[in-house]
Amino acid sequence: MNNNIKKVSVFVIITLAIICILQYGIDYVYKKRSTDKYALLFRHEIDPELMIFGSSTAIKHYNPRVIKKLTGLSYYNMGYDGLFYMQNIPLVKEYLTYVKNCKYMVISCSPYLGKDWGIMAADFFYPYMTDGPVYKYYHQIEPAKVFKARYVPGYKLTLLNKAFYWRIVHQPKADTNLGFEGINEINQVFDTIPPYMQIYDEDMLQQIKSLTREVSAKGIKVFLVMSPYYVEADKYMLNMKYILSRYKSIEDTSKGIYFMDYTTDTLALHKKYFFSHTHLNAEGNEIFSNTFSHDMMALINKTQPTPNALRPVERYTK
Amino acid sequence: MLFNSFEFLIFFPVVTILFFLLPHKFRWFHLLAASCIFYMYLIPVYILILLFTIIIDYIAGIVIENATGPKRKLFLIFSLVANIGILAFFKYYNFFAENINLLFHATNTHANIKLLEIVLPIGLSFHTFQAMSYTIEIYRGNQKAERHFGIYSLYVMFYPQLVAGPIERPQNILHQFHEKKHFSYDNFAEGMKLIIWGFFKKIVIADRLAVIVNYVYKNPTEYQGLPLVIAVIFFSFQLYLDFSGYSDIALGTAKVMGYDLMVNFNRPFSSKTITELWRRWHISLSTWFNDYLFTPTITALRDWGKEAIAFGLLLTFFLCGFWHGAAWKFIVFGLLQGIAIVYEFYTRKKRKKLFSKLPEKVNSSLSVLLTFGYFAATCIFFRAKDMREAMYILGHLFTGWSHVFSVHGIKNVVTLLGGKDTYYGAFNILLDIGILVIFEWLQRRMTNNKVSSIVAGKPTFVRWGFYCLMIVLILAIGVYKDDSFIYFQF
Repeated sequence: MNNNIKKVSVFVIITLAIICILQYGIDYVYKKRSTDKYALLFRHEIDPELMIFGSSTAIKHYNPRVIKKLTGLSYYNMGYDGLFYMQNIPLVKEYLTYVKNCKYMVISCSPYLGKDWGIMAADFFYPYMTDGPVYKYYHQIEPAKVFKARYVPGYKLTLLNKAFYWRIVHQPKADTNLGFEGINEINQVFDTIPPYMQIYDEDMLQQIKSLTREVSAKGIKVFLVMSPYYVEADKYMLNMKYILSRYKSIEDTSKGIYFMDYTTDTLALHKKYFFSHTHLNAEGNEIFSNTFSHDMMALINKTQPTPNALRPVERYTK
Repeated sequence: MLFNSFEFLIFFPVVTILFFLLPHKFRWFHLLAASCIFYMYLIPVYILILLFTIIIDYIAGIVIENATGPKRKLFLIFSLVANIGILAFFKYYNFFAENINLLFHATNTHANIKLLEIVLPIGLSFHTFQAMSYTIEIYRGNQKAERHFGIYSLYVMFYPQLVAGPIERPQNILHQFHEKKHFSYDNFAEGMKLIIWGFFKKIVIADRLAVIVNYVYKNPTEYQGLPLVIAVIFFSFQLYLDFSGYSDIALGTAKVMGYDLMVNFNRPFSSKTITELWRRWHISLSTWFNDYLFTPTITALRDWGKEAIAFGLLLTFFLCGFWHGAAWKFIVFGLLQGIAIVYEFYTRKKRKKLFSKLPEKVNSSLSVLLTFGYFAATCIFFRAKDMREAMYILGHLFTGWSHVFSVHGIKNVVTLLGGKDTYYGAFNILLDIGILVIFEWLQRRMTNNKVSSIVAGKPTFVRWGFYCLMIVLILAIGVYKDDSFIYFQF
């Protein structure tokens, strides 16, 4: 009997050891990846003059060619599809631990101000799950999952998916780290969507506010940017006006924190500039990047807004 | 509670350790309480339905045993009606209501029978059949009525097989609950190996195949030809591995505590006929239908000669299909099995003569391939949303092949199945096929459903390495989406 218990114990210990080594190995390989922008951030190897954070609007709306040409700033885009605030905050915090060159930071705003979206692009971030800020914020998104990932040996492995293994052999392309020049499709634009209330959590807004103050304290100007949304679809977001007013409340120009609202831009009136009702296509991306770059430089240089800025329209008056 | 959940990872060792720590006289209560927790984890209130059938059948068992003459039959019928009544209400009410409404609508009259918004109690078909086998066996005199209410409740509710079988017979399991079980390393090791094997089948293979299957079956009308064929073949494997994986985990979980459950699958896809396939597929259900429906039917109709067997088979498989779900597609699925078996029954000699002209290996491989092909095609009815969708898939399996045999064609198929990135799609499909090939190779090395036979006689480091690798693969390349088991819906 004792002999058998010993056998089982030895087997369990060996298996656990192999699982832990495998886990460590995967984390190690991932952290060393040369073109993974998040690995670069956590290795403190990115420090441009202009840094962009946010979800899909961040990665899809800021044209690297246009921004470089009009601002002349070195620039990096940390945006990723579906990456909402709870996942962006630890990235910004990590960045602030080593930042030296950055002068301006864009946070691409989302009308969604909730915490329960789920962890997106998980395979990029699991290697950092045990790190302080990532754990702290991811825990607010999916508490049970993140807790088990940190403390149960092998559980983290179960959170990986085929995309993870695929990305080990097929690393992301470095040139997409600066953003896209846009997608030339208009097939996902809805003419109408049913009226709905966007999720709004005041605590989430306060966390963003606190983050902007932290960034500002480092001498970095912060631009909270709300991208254009296709008006025909977007007018059904019933509490959009309120959400915009809450974003506006974060603004503190004396501290270099600005809120730039492009939902009132004429760009939003034209379906042809969108590939989905929340995302600009290549043509829209070019116009928006142009307008944004001029506006940002005007704010930085304290000059008049750019003459080629598109005229605002009243959308939320009713 | 799902076997493939984190909760079960805690539940199982806690229940097992407590089981061996407790004195024998308290074990039935411990297992019953654990089974209640296991069942109530999903929809707690449905435990009342179970309690109702348990009370009915417990009393019926004793009454049938004590009664004589026609009263025995009367009590049996009462018990069966109660069991089938519950099953009919929860599982089949809406089906009949819908069809009656449709029938009246077709004749321009109205019968607005209201549909019920009820969720099917999990595992209802399984434990109802298990409960019915108890009273039938008592009626037949093969089993003594259980006087201990707790033990009888455990017979119906034993958590390893409560929600998806195997559908046990009282002769096999009831006496085991009275026996004093001692911890045995051999049972523990064999049980754990079965559990690991079951998880490997379910999480690494079945759920991985499900990704592609679900992708195609979500909008099957967008496909034709090869993508449909791949989805149809993958689904057959998914169904088999999902369910047999569950059965292995159930058998293993019980085995660790020293209980032996029925083996439910015996490499069905190596069968040379559909008849053989159903002897190897969901054995506890097919033997249930054989014992309690098919055999009594052909005995009652013995004057009909061969036709009694044909009728018995069609009736049995009609009900077997209907058991799977309250929809016409399941009835068609069942009937197609029945028709194939009847065909095999009538043409046995002719086929034997015809196939004997072929070399043994060709004969054998062709038979296996044809059997699998037919079964896979019938599984379209199992997986499709409805009859219309099933007919579309069947009708388009052999269309659109002309474009496949080119680089562009292959790229299109891969993109259709694997998403926008062609290489990623190819990687997914190759991974799935690779895993299936490895699984088949491993399964061929197994004897008597014993996982240990795969690496029997090898040095310790090979055997341990094999099990360790399986655990690592389950963790690292398993699909974890909190997916339930397919057979839970029944």
